[in-house]
Amino acid sequence: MIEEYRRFATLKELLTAVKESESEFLLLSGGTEIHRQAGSSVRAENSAVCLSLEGLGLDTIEKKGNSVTIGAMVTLQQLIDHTDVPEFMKEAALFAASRTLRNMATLGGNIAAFRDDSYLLPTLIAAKARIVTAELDDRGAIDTEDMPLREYVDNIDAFRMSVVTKIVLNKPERYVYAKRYSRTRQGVPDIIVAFGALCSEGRLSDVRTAAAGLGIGIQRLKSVDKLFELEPQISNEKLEEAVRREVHTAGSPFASAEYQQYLAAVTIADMASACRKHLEGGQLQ
Amino acid sequence: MNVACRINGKERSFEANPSESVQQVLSRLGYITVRNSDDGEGFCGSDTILVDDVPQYASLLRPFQIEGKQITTAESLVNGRHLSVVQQAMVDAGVVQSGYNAPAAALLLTSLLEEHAHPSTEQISDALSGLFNRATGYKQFFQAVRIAEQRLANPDYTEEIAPEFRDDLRQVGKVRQKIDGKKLVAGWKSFVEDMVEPGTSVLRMLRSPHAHAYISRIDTSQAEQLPGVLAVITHKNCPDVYYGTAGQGFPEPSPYDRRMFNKKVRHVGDRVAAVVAESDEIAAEALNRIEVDYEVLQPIFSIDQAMQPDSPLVHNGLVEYVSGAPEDLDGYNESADPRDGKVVYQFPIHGDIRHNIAAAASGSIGDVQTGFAAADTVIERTYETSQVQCTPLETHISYAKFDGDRLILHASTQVPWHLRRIVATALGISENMIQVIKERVGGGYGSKQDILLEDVTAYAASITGTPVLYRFSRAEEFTANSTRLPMKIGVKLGCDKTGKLTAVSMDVKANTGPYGSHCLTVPMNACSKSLPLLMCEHMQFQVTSYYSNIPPTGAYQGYGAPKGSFALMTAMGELAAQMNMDLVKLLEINRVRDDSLLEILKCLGEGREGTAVRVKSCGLGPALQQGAHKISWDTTEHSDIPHEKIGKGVAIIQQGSGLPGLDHSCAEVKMLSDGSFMLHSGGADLGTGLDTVSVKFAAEVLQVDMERVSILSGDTDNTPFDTGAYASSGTFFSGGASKKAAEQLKQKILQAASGFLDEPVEHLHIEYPGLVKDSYGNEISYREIAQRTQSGTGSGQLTGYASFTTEDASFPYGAHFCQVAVNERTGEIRVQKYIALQDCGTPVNPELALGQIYGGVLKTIGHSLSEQMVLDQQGTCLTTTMRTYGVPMISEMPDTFEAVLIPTDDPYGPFGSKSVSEISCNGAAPAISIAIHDAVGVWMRDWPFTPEKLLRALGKI
Repeated sequence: MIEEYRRFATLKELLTAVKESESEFLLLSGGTEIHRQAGSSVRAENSAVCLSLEGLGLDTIEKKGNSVTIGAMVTLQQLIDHTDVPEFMKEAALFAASRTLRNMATLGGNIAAFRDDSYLLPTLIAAKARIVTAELDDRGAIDTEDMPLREYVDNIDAFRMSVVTKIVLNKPERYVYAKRYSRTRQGVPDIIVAFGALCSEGRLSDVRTAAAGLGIGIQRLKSVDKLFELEPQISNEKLEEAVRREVHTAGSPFASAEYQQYLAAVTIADMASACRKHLEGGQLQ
Repeated sequence: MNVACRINGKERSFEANPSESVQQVLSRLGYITVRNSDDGEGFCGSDTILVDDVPQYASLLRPFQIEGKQITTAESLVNGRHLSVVQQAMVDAGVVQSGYNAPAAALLLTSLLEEHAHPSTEQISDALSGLFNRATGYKQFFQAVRIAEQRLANPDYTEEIAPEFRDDLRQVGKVRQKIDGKKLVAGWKSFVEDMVEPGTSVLRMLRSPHAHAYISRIDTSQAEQLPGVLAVITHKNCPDVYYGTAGQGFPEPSPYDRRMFNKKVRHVGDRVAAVVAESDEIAAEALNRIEVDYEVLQPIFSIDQAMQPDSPLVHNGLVEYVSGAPEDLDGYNESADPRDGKVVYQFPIHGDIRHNIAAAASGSIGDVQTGFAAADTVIERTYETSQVQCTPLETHISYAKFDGDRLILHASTQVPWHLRRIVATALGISENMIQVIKERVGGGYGSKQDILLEDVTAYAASITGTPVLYRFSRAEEFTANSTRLPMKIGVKLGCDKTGKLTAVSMDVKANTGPYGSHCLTVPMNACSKSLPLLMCEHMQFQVTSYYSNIPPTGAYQGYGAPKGSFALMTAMGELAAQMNMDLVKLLEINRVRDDSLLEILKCLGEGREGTAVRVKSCGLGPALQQGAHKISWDTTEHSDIPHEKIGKGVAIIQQGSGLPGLDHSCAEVKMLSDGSFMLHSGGADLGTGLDTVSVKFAAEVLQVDMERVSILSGDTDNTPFDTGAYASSGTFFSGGASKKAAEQLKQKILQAASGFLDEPVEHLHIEYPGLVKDSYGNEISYREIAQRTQSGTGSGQLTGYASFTTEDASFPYGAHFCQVAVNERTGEIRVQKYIALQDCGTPVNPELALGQIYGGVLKTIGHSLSEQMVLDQQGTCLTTTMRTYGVPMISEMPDTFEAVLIPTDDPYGPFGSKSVSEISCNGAAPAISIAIHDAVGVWMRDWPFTPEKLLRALGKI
């Protein structure tokens, strides 16, 4: 049950409240994941205090040079509507197929909820996005940490007392593609697959692959990424085999583990093929 | 906490609980258009509001999130009693049917048009992407937006909404506004929840965690001691009466196999105890305090399990027969376990509960062995269908209170009179002590033909003396609502070299689940609404219905027909493929047509003796011809997308128009003192426009505008008897009764006028807009006739009363064509085109008929491709939300989606009409299955046709 909510004038006040919180608390951005009664991993009934991120200036999108910085309170619909947001991020935001939901759900909320079926995280991993978090240090000063998103994903438990404040997309040269398989656009996903790479100097490099919706959290397929470094011209068959070996799937009531593995394999292979085709054509999309 | 914000332009300040949703708060404050359909899932959109002009789900907001904000609800759209441009356009386009979230839709579209004066198709889809519409399938929203867009610039703008029919008629076949459309889209009080008075107690149900178990101990004392708890009802203190939930004609063909609460629970979610309390919170706490011990039994979930010789028995109690008991009944009952209670059959339906058989039937014409022997090609296949949910936006709800000693039930039901009978039976009181008031129904689709909560709500009110409200949660809809029966259907077809069928055999095995509501009639309907599509001398069928421990089953739009059609039509597709013959040609050779004699119906009564029927009107010829042209049937399509193949499919379908010899409707029309009319109809409009049909018929007969006829319907005290809205009976029976009553009144008007004009009746006729003329040009208005008859010296108020029954049958027919794109690599299936051509006789409400076709088709595209109730090994439903269950939304609508009305003039239907709604559910599964085969060469024989199943069929996994 939410017994109390609190708003703050500054980020520091919020971080102070986080640090000093003695009872369980919830950081509230859009609230769609927190308040959703069904299917949510975070149940509002479990927490007594809601700490709101609203009004802290975290709802801006700024472009400087090749870098786009997106505040945690930017809604998924604002991502779609903003001209400076890369196309792949807009497509990921559209994985939330309900516009009404997109009007409410936020970038920061979707990341922090860290759901297995996250709309955005696989794409952000493939894009090699950076994440900025904030917490209070021992002296009471704001300690911001600007790190690759993969670090955040790999060490999520270490950031329980941190607040996600922004995401930075600073690699516009990357080809990023993601696909969400589900029976209906708003249905639960059978799997979400994301692929990102640099396409230059005649080959794919700096590949990042991720899969989600598999019942066991978001996965980076590190050995698949490594394989591209070792064998840039790897065949589709070999790539599919590597993905099958790497991806861990639990299966779900709606999709068997075997099916999820198959989709992960063929989708990453197809994305790599598509990337190569663009490369041959001399331009990226 | 205190919250201050602006709501619809006015400053509001109110107290709210921080953990309650904004939907709950706004509803409590009187903004009733902000409705709850999904318990905070953020899916259905019935709770849509604007927060600082941006659409949001109120159920996903907490009060502090609207502090200082500008809130807009759909209440803001109307101006006094006048609809906004958008609302009016929605009514005109026919998109408001059950209407539960029509106000939310109007709010979304208003917001869209404020942002984009001329929105694109994509923008309209996007705006509605967060709104679930089960009734009308989204298509007509696009037309509504176009109309509104034009009218905002030119208020006088009009356009052709839908094709119109019957030039000889003034109202019937013409586009008119649905008479309750304004009320529904405006969001005025319409539904049961809107009638609840302060001080009403709530009922909550403790449900079984086990699929099959005896309740060995239940202790409710701790719950009863909780302050605010008024009653706890269990198998120990409920009425010792057996009944069924199926709202069918009496005596029902379904067995009475349950009490209000039973000692044995038969599915996860079965009733264990009901708590009646002063508040929801107290009721929830009381449920936690009830202690229950179970003796858990082995459950069975499938037909195959139920058929095993040593299978656990779902019902092993005493069997009784009201009539026709077999001679060896005592011996049969020797092995009964008293903890299982009883199964009472009204008459024999070949049930054998000691083998889990709830009902069985068989029949044949000709000699199928001879027919198969004469065949050049024989195929034999088995098809399976899964359990699917109705998912009405308004979950099941019942509000019971007492007026003196009389029970008043406000109900969202398709069957007010059956409801009254069953509740009277359950409570052991006579029917005159109960009034059922059917409110507007926010979606039923068959599931509100069953009495799922009214019995216990009424009993709770009777023992506590307080008004009681019980509303299913969305999760309860998935665990305790009736669903489409899963089936396993064997089909064997034989045909000669020319494609002429020589023999047809169907073996239908149905899984009726824990109780036997509709256990005989649904599977028989799978045969009776599919076999008569084909003309064959030799036919046979076998129907067996098995008990199991899956969630309950029952009626669902289409009844058994969607399953029978899937099996039989897909088998026809397989036969055509095997013979290398064009499917449309094969269907054309064998299909039913005008004047066909349907011999097979001799064996397919709905729980009674059937009769052979001659078809009086059949639009299948033009439907097949036009459909084939529209979808370019003879052209092979190719896709530019890698791995994607395109295929086309077709199915012919039929339904009935009520149940001749079983259904019964009555109506009364009264002339009011100014010459206008009041129609009292027993019909239960569940959102489809039955009231509009009835008013149209009366207005047509009496030659007045529809505005001169008002209607009251579905009120057991104030309107005459009607069996209810099921079996596609509304237009034919309830509408037929209204027409007949108006015709009787017309004769009385003419007789009265004869006296006033001093002319014989034969020389008189009525004329629009409500007057009687003689052959010399003399005339008298209805107003004057009314005044004279209702004066102190007159004959008294003129009324017409009719009771409508018939032995004549009218069958709607249809041909559904579709085109699918199938990705061989990923298994993805997309319906690109869907053309539904339907013969509903004279389309009475053309725009509403189209909406029902779109709704039925999209619903069953969902059944075919995505919707699935998944049970775990213990029988717990894992798909208790809209997202997990997989209902189709606007994004799943086919790119090309067209409904075509094929008019025929049926001699039996009122003004030549036939039914339209249910039939539209029968074509999607077979047409899609056949199209998938056309695309990638594999047959999908069990729905839903998921990508995973397709990949397995293709050998990819």
